[in-house]
Amino acid sequence: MSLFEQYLTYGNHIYQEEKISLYRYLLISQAKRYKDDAIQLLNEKKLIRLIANGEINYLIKSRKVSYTPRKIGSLAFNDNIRELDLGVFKRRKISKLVRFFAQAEVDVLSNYPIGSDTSLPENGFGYLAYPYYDLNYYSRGKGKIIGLFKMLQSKDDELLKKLLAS
Amino acid sequence: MDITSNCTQPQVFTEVTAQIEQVADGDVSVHVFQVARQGAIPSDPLVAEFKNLWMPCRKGKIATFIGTAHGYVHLKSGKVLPVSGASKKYHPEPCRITAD
Repeated sequence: MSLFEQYLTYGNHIYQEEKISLYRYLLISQAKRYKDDAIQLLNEKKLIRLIANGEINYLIKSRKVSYTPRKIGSLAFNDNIRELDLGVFKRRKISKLVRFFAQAEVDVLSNYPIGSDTSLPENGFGYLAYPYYDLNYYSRGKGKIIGLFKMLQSKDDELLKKLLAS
Repeated sequence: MDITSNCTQPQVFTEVTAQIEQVADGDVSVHVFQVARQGAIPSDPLVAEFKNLWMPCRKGKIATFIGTAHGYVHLKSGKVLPVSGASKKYHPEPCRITAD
Protein backbone atom coordinates (compact mmCIF):
# COMPACT_ATOMS: atom_id res chain seq x y z
CA MET A 1 0.00 0.00 0.00
CA SER A 2 1.41 3.40 -0.97
CA LEU A 3 1.61 6.27 1.51
CA PHE A 4 -1.20 8.08 -0.28
CA GLU A 5 -3.40 4.96 -0.07
CA GLN A 6 -2.74 4.91 3.69
CA TYR A 7 -3.91 8.52 3.92
CA LEU A 8 -7.16 7.49 2.24
CA THR A 9 -7.93 5.53 5.42
CA TYR A 10 -7.07 8.23 7.99
CA GLY A 11 -10.08 10.54 7.59
CA ASN A 12 -10.34 13.31 10.14
CA HIS A 13 -7.08 12.15 11.77
CA ILE A 14 -5.19 13.90 8.97
CA TYR A 15 -3.61 17.11 10.27
CA GLN A 16 -4.24 20.40 8.48
CA GLU A 17 -0.58 20.72 7.51
CA GLU A 18 -0.71 17.22 5.96
CA LYS A 19 -3.76 18.11 3.89
CA ILE A 20 -1.91 20.75 1.90
CA SER A 21 0.76 18.15 1.09
CA LEU A 22 -1.98 15.81 -0.13
CA TYR A 23 -3.38 18.67 -2.23
CA ARG A 24 0.02 19.31 -3.83
CA TYR A 25 0.50 15.57 -4.35
CA LEU A 26 -2.85 15.25 -6.10
CA LEU A 27 -2.06 18.24 -8.34
CA ILE A 28 1.11 16.49 -9.50
CA SER A 29 0.00 12.86 -9.61
CA GLN A 30 -3.46 13.46 -11.08
CA ALA A 31 -2.56 16.30 -13.48
CA LYS A 32 -3.59 14.41 -16.61
CA ARG A 33 -6.86 13.09 -15.16
CA TYR A 34 -7.80 16.49 -13.74
CA LYS A 35 -7.21 18.16 -17.11
CA ASP A 36 -9.35 15.56 -18.89
CA ASP A 37 -12.04 15.93 -16.20
CA ALA A 38 -11.95 19.72 -16.52
CA ILE A 39 -12.58 19.53 -20.27
CA GLN A 40 -15.40 17.02 -19.70
CA LEU A 41 -16.96 19.18 -16.99
CA LEU A 42 -16.78 22.31 -19.16
CA ASN A 43 -18.52 20.44 -21.98
CA GLU A 44 -21.15 18.58 -19.95
CA LYS A 45 -21.57 21.03 -17.01
CA LYS A 46 -21.68 18.18 -14.50
CA LEU A 47 -19.34 15.44 -13.38
CA ILE A 48 -19.29 12.79 -10.66
CA ARG A 49 -16.06 11.42 -9.24
CA LEU A 50 -15.22 9.06 -6.36
CA ILE A 51 -12.37 9.27 -3.87
CA ALA A 52 -11.81 7.18 -0.73
CA ASN A 53 -15.33 6.49 0.58
CA GLY A 54 -16.86 9.64 -0.87
CA GLU A 55 -18.62 10.82 -4.00
CA ILE A 56 -18.21 14.32 -5.42
CA ASN A 57 -20.83 15.91 -7.61
CA TYR A 58 -19.43 18.86 -9.62
CA LEU A 59 -21.71 21.34 -11.29
CA ILE A 60 -21.09 24.38 -13.49
CA LYS A 61 -23.75 27.07 -13.49
CA SER A 62 -23.17 30.37 -15.26
CA ARG A 63 -19.42 30.90 -14.75
CA LYS A 64 -19.23 29.16 -11.39
CA VAL A 65 -18.22 25.64 -10.43
CA SER A 66 -19.41 24.11 -7.18
CA TYR A 67 -19.35 20.71 -5.59
CA THR A 68 -21.53 18.72 -3.25
CA PRO A 69 -20.18 15.62 -1.50
CA ARG A 70 -21.72 12.53 0.03
CA LYS A 71 -20.55 9.27 1.51
CA ILE A 72 -20.74 6.45 -1.06
CA GLY A 73 -24.10 4.73 -0.59
CA SER A 74 -25.63 7.67 1.25
CA LEU A 75 -28.92 8.97 -0.12
CA ALA A 76 -28.48 12.68 0.46
CA PHE A 77 -25.78 15.02 -0.77
CA ASN A 78 -24.51 17.73 1.56
CA ASP A 79 -25.09 21.34 0.58
CA ASN A 80 -22.64 23.11 -1.73
CA ILE A 81 -19.30 23.12 0.04
CA ARG A 82 -17.23 25.32 -2.25
CA GLU A 83 -17.85 27.56 -5.22
CA LEU A 84 -15.33 29.14 -7.59
CA ASP A 85 -15.73 31.72 -10.34
CA LEU A 86 -14.03 30.29 -13.42
CA GLY A 87 -13.75 33.48 -15.44
CA VAL A 88 -14.10 33.54 -19.22
CA PHE A 89 -10.90 32.20 -20.77
CA LYS A 90 -10.83 28.46 -21.42
CA ARG A 91 -7.20 27.83 -20.40
CA ARG A 92 -7.73 29.75 -17.18
CA LYS A 93 -10.94 27.82 -16.54
CA ILE A 94 -9.09 24.52 -16.91
CA SER A 95 -6.29 25.54 -14.56
CA LYS A 96 -8.81 26.75 -11.97
CA LEU A 97 -10.81 23.53 -12.28
CA VAL A 98 -7.68 21.41 -11.82
CA ARG A 99 -7.00 23.12 -8.48
CA PHE A 100 -10.66 22.93 -7.52
CA PHE A 101 -10.68 19.16 -8.13
CA ALA A 102 -7.60 18.63 -5.94
CA GLN A 103 -9.13 20.73 -3.15
CA ALA A 104 -12.45 18.88 -3.36
CA GLU A 105 -10.72 15.49 -3.23
CA VAL A 106 -8.71 16.48 -0.15
CA ASP A 107 -11.89 17.74 1.53
CA VAL A 108 -13.76 14.54 0.72
CA LEU A 109 -11.06 11.98 1.52
CA SER A 110 -10.61 13.53 4.96
CA ASN A 111 -14.34 13.31 5.68
CA TYR A 112 -15.12 9.91 4.14
CA PRO A 113 -12.12 7.60 4.66
CA ILE A 114 -11.91 4.08 3.31
CA GLY A 115 -12.91 1.54 5.94
CA SER A 116 -14.97 3.97 8.00
CA ASP A 117 -17.72 2.38 10.02
CA THR A 118 -20.79 2.63 7.79
CA SER A 119 -23.11 1.90 10.71
CA LEU A 120 -22.18 5.19 12.38
CA PRO A 121 -24.47 8.11 11.62
CA GLU A 122 -22.91 10.86 9.52
CA ASN A 123 -21.69 13.84 11.46
CA GLY A 124 -21.66 16.61 8.90
CA PHE A 125 -18.79 17.69 6.71
CA GLY A 126 -15.68 19.59 7.78
CA TYR A 127 -13.46 21.72 5.56
CA LEU A 128 -11.01 24.61 5.73
CA ALA A 129 -12.65 27.97 5.20
CA TYR A 130 -9.83 29.16 2.90
CA PRO A 131 -8.99 26.65 0.16
CA TYR A 132 -5.38 25.97 -0.76
CA TYR A 133 -5.83 27.56 -4.20
CA ASP A 134 -6.65 30.87 -2.51
CA LEU A 135 -3.72 32.99 -1.30
CA ASN A 136 -5.88 33.90 1.69
CA TYR A 137 -5.11 30.41 2.96
CA TYR A 138 -1.48 31.41 3.49
CA SER A 139 -2.32 34.77 5.07
CA ARG A 140 -5.09 33.26 7.23
CA GLY A 141 -7.59 35.63 5.64
CA LYS A 142 -5.43 38.75 5.84
CA GLY A 143 -5.34 39.34 2.08
CA LYS A 144 -3.78 37.93 -1.07
CA ILE A 145 -0.65 40.08 -1.11
CA ILE A 146 0.37 38.93 2.39
CA GLY A 147 -0.66 35.43 1.30
CA LEU A 148 1.70 35.56 -1.66
CA PHE A 149 4.64 36.53 0.59
CA LYS A 150 3.76 33.78 3.08
CA MET A 151 3.46 31.22 0.29
CA LEU A 152 6.89 32.15 -1.06
CA GLN A 153 8.31 31.80 2.45
CA SER A 154 6.74 28.37 3.04
CA LYS A 155 9.15 25.60 3.92
CA ASP A 156 10.00 22.49 1.92
CA ASP A 157 7.21 19.98 1.95
CA GLU A 158 8.67 16.79 3.44
CA LEU A 159 5.43 14.84 3.26
CA LEU A 160 5.03 15.69 -0.42
CA LYS A 161 8.48 14.24 -1.11
CA LYS A 162 7.50 11.04 0.75
CA LEU A 163 4.18 10.81 -1.09
CA LEU A 164 5.86 11.19 -4.46
CA ALA A 165 8.55 8.64 -3.56
CA SER A 166 6.17 5.95 -2.28
CA MET B 1 -22.68 22.23 19.98
CA ASP B 2 -26.06 22.20 21.64
CA ILE B 3 -29.07 23.92 20.08
CA THR B 4 -32.31 24.62 21.88
CA SER B 5 -35.43 25.68 20.03
CA ASN B 6 -37.65 27.35 22.59
CA CYS B 7 -41.17 28.37 21.56
CA THR B 8 -44.05 30.14 23.27
CA GLN B 9 -46.51 27.63 21.75
CA PRO B 10 -46.28 23.81 21.64
CA GLN B 11 -44.21 22.54 18.73
CA VAL B 12 -44.14 19.25 16.85
CA PHE B 13 -40.51 19.46 15.78
CA THR B 14 -37.72 21.80 14.77
CA GLU B 15 -35.55 21.32 11.70
CA VAL B 16 -32.20 23.10 11.47
CA THR B 17 -29.09 23.39 9.35
CA ALA B 18 -26.14 24.15 11.58
CA GLN B 19 -22.48 24.89 11.27
CA ILE B 20 -19.55 25.28 13.62
CA GLU B 21 -16.60 27.50 12.74
CA GLN B 22 -13.31 26.68 14.45
CA VAL B 23 -10.15 28.76 14.64
CA ALA B 24 -7.10 26.74 15.66
CA ASP B 25 -3.48 27.79 15.10
CA GLY B 26 -4.72 30.47 12.70
CA ASP B 27 -6.57 27.98 10.48
CA VAL B 28 -10.27 28.63 10.08
CA SER B 29 -12.26 25.47 9.48
CA VAL B 30 -15.96 24.99 9.08
CA HIS B 31 -18.07 21.97 9.90
CA VAL B 32 -21.51 21.90 8.29
CA PHE B 33 -24.21 19.51 9.38
CA GLN B 34 -26.91 17.97 7.27
CA VAL B 35 -30.44 19.08 8.08
CA ALA B 36 -31.32 17.72 11.50
CA ARG B 37 -34.83 17.27 12.85
CA GLN B 38 -35.67 17.00 16.53
CA GLY B 39 -39.10 16.41 18.04
CA ALA B 40 -40.39 18.41 21.00
CA ILE B 41 -39.41 17.09 24.43
CA PRO B 42 -42.40 15.02 25.68
CA SER B 43 -42.28 16.66 29.12
CA ASP B 44 -41.92 20.15 27.66
CA PRO B 45 -43.55 20.47 24.22
CA LEU B 46 -42.37 24.07 23.89
CA VAL B 47 -38.77 22.92 23.54
CA ALA B 48 -36.70 20.81 21.12
CA GLU B 49 -33.03 20.12 21.81
CA PHE B 50 -30.16 19.10 19.55
CA LYS B 51 -27.19 17.66 21.42
CA ASN B 52 -25.39 15.53 18.89
CA LEU B 53 -23.55 18.15 16.82
CA TRP B 54 -19.78 17.87 17.15
CA MET B 55 -16.62 18.35 15.14
CA PRO B 56 -13.19 16.78 15.50
CA CYS B 57 -10.37 18.66 17.25
CA ARG B 58 -6.71 18.01 17.96
CA LYS B 59 -6.10 16.62 21.45
CA GLY B 60 -4.31 19.03 23.75
CA LYS B 61 -4.90 22.09 21.56
CA ILE B 62 -7.11 25.01 22.44
CA ALA B 63 -9.36 26.25 19.68
CA THR B 64 -12.15 28.81 19.53
CA PHE B 65 -15.58 27.97 18.22
CA ILE B 66 -18.65 29.80 17.05
CA GLY B 67 -21.89 28.10 16.08
CA THR B 68 -24.78 29.17 13.87
CA ALA B 69 -28.05 27.49 12.93
CA HIS B 70 -31.16 28.31 10.99
CA GLY B 71 -34.28 26.38 10.08
CA TYR B 72 -37.97 26.03 10.79
CA VAL B 73 -40.14 25.15 13.71
CA HIS B 74 -43.37 23.27 13.03
CA LEU B 75 -45.97 24.22 15.64
CA LYS B 76 -48.83 22.00 16.76
CA SER B 77 -51.21 24.66 15.44
CA GLY B 78 -49.91 23.89 11.93
CA LYS B 79 -47.89 27.07 11.58
CA VAL B 80 -44.32 26.84 10.29
CA LEU B 81 -42.01 29.60 11.47
CA PRO B 82 -38.39 30.37 10.56
CA VAL B 83 -35.86 30.24 13.39
CA SER B 84 -32.20 31.12 13.56
CA GLY B 85 -29.52 31.71 16.14
CA ALA B 86 -25.81 31.99 16.74
CA SER B 87 -23.43 31.89 19.65
CA LYS B 88 -22.57 35.56 19.96
CA LYS B 89 -18.80 35.22 20.25
CA TYR B 90 -16.00 32.73 19.81
CA HIS B 91 -15.71 30.30 22.72
CA PRO B 92 -12.24 28.97 23.55
CA GLU B 93 -12.35 25.25 24.33
CA PRO B 94 -9.52 22.82 25.07
CA CYS B 95 -9.65 19.61 23.06
CA ARG B 96 -9.71 16.78 25.59
CA ILE B 97 -11.46 13.55 26.44
CA THR B 98 -14.02 13.99 29.19
CA ALA B 99 -16.65 11.80 30.76
CA ASP B 100 -19.73 12.65 32.79
